[in-house]
Amino acid sequence: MTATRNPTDWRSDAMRRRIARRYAAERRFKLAGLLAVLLSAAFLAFLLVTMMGNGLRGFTRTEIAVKVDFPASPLLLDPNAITDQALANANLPMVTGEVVKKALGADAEEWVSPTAWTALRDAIKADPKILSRTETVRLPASTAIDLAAKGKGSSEAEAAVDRLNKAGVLSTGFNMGFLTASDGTDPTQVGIWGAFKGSLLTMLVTLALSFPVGVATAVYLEEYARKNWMTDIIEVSINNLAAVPSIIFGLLGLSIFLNVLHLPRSASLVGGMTLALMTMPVIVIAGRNAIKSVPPSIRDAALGIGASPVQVVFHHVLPLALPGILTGTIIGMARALGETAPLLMIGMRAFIATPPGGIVDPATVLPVQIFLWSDEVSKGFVEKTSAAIIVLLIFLLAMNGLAIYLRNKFERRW
Amino acid sequence: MAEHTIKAFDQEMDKLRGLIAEMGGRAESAIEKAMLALQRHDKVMAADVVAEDKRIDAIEAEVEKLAIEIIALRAPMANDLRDVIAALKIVGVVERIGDYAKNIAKRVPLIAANQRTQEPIALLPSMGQVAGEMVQDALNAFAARDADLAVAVIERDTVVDDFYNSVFRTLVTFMVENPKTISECAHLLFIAKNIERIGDHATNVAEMVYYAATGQTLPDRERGGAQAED
Amino acid sequence: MTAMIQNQESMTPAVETKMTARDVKVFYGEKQAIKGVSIDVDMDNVTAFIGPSGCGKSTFLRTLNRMNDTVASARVEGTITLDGEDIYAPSMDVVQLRARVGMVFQKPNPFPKSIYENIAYGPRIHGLAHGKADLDVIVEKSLRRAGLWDEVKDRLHDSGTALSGGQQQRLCIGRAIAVEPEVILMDEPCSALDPIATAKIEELIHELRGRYAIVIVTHNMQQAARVSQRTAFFHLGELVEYGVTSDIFTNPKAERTKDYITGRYG
Repeated sequence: MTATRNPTDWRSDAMRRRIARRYAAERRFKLAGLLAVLLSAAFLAFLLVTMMGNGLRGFTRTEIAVKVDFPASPLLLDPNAITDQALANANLPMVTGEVVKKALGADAEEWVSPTAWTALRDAIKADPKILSRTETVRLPASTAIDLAAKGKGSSEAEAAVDRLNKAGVLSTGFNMGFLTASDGTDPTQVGIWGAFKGSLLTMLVTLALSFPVGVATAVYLEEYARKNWMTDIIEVSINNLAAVPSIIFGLLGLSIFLNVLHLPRSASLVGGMTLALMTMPVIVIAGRNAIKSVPPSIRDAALGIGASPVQVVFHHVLPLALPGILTGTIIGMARALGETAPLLMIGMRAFIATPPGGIVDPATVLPVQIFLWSDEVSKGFVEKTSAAIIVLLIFLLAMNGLAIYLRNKFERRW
Repeated sequence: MAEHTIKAFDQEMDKLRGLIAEMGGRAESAIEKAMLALQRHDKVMAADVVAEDKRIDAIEAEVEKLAIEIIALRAPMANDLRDVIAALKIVGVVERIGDYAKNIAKRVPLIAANQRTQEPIALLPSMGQVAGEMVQDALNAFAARDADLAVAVIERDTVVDDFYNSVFRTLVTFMVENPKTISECAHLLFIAKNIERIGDHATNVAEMVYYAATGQTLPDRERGGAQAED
Repeated sequence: MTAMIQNQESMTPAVETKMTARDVKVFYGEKQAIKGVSIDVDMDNVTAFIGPSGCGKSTFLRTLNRMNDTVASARVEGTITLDGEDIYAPSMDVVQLRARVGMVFQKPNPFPKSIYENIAYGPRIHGLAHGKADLDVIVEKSLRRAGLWDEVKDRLHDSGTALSGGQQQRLCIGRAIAVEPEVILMDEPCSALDPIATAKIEELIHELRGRYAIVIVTHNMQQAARVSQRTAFFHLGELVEYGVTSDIFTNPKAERTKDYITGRYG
């Protein structure tokens, strides 16, 4: 018996309800997606607002304008013979103290930064003729005054700020020192240049090690290795390696590079090698995928006119896979750039007050610097921490931007 | 033989065969009727034969159209191609056979029905029957792709040729003895010649059928009716 | 055992045999893809391989320039010779072999480089050109032979992938020609092309005939009929019938060939 089926009534109520339900489901799903996006956008906005709120102040400093009557000061300098040597011998810190006391009162010496004399020195160097007249020089305020001016100081400092404000000598200027100095003990004097340079050197070492090795591994596995249980094991291992917590790599670096190979502690070299271990599996995976996505027809074409396997790889496969490999590499590098844990393990948490001169010098890196500053007791470090985070984020954005640029530049159609 | 993957192709080939079978049947019945009309001196039946030849011509046109369509749309290959080409050629030949039957029918009114012509006319029907059967068998062979039957048809051509030679001699002798019947006997001679041509054409059809069925051409054979080669 | 029927009576004997295959068997792991095929390919005739999908015609084509080497599980038995030289002998250099036995693929696959570079690549890696001027000559000659010169001479440095499908395929033929091969294998070269582009390729094949031994695999029987003088019908890894094209298409000997070419297969 075959039941006769009525022709489907596409306009029946049941049908209408079905369609309505389907559209409702569609709308719900869209809404859920939108909510997810909004939520993450909100988190991002919160992060940015907090960082910017705290961090932007880290790029500024409070300055106190001080009238300096150079001829009357205890400064003994010949305007026609200003040399570094002469400036160094002029006992500028003492002169600065005197000048400030004369201009603002006896207790004013505490209000300017211990490094305020450098501002005086720079002013003299810029224009030696000011030595013969009275000139207003902006000196950086001490940490206490700086914090009070930004609204977070102690009561005595607040009182001093009130006085200074009444005198109309307080102003805010760009803190150049934050970009050019290294770590220090006084928050008004610290800078991220040392950590930035350390990061740069570490990344260089990481790239130099992980890129060639990673790409070579990817090429070998894709183009040469026979598919058998050994390559299967290697493949699984590499995938697992990419998922290993970074602290394990730190321990590995510690036990092999430091304890066995006796490489210098807390140097960019060792940090870079450790991070290279971590980045390599990412590059291998990205590289293999990029190589796999090169159409086999291109390989056939090259083989078909008698190119050798090496020629096929270097003339055709790699150039076509390059955008994918570069993208993967930069993503891996960006991850390495933000890595802290493994570097702590190999001793890169030391207090380093001078920028590293080379890859074997003791160095620190941006995320470690952030970690160290966030641990500091002094309140002045809060905004410095945020400012350092902003620098790190800009660095990361720049790297990702580079990845996108490279991908678009080398992207080819086939 | 297995069916084509495309069923419509099979249907078209079947239609082609059906049309040719119909054409063959009509040609054979035209021959038969023409002979009967001659014997009975039936002018109405003779007119019938002439009228029915139009149908044979129409089928020829239809087969030609269908064959061209099949070639254009189905791109037949191998035995299919041979079948279609054979069909195309066969309809032309069968149309000629129909024309011969019509010619015979047209002569019926010209032959006076009297005692004198009774004897010579009696020679022709059996000759006509052999030729008609050859036509029928050749077209059956095509429908059945029967190469053996085609060969049998070809071999029978000598029978028709022998018939013709004997009718020729008899009629000449008859005319010498009865000069008054020369006009009628001349017509009868032409009719005999027409029947002989029908036999030849049936042989041609059989040759085409043989090629279509086997893909081979028959080895050169001794063509019958040497003296009637015109 | 191969049930191969050869239309010997109509094969003209005085042709220069370029490649011969004798009892060639191809295995993919356990599976046997080609079951003892013997065939001769000559200089003067275009040879077409036809057969249903999976019949082994492409596999067999790829044994002729050892493209199957790239498949790890593939194993070839029997002998294939090029000018009497065993191409599977250890002394045969596979890179050179592929220069001598060129190949054109199903999908046009120009390199994502300029038209000029596409043609120049082969001569360059084989060191066939002596200097830039010589290379220019080779590029022009190859493009002319591929019937593409007039269409691209003003834009030699445009990307090869910007050409139309048919032009791309002719570029690929030009690329194969540029290394002066002796044999050109074509694996369904027109399957991705429209009828006009197909006709141009077929005309090109016709023009190249005699200069190179040409073997073409095609799904399109009409195409085999149009471009080839010899046709081989493959079925289930066997060479069922090999003979003069006009005979194969009007009067095949084997029942399987007849069923296939008349559309009664399966």
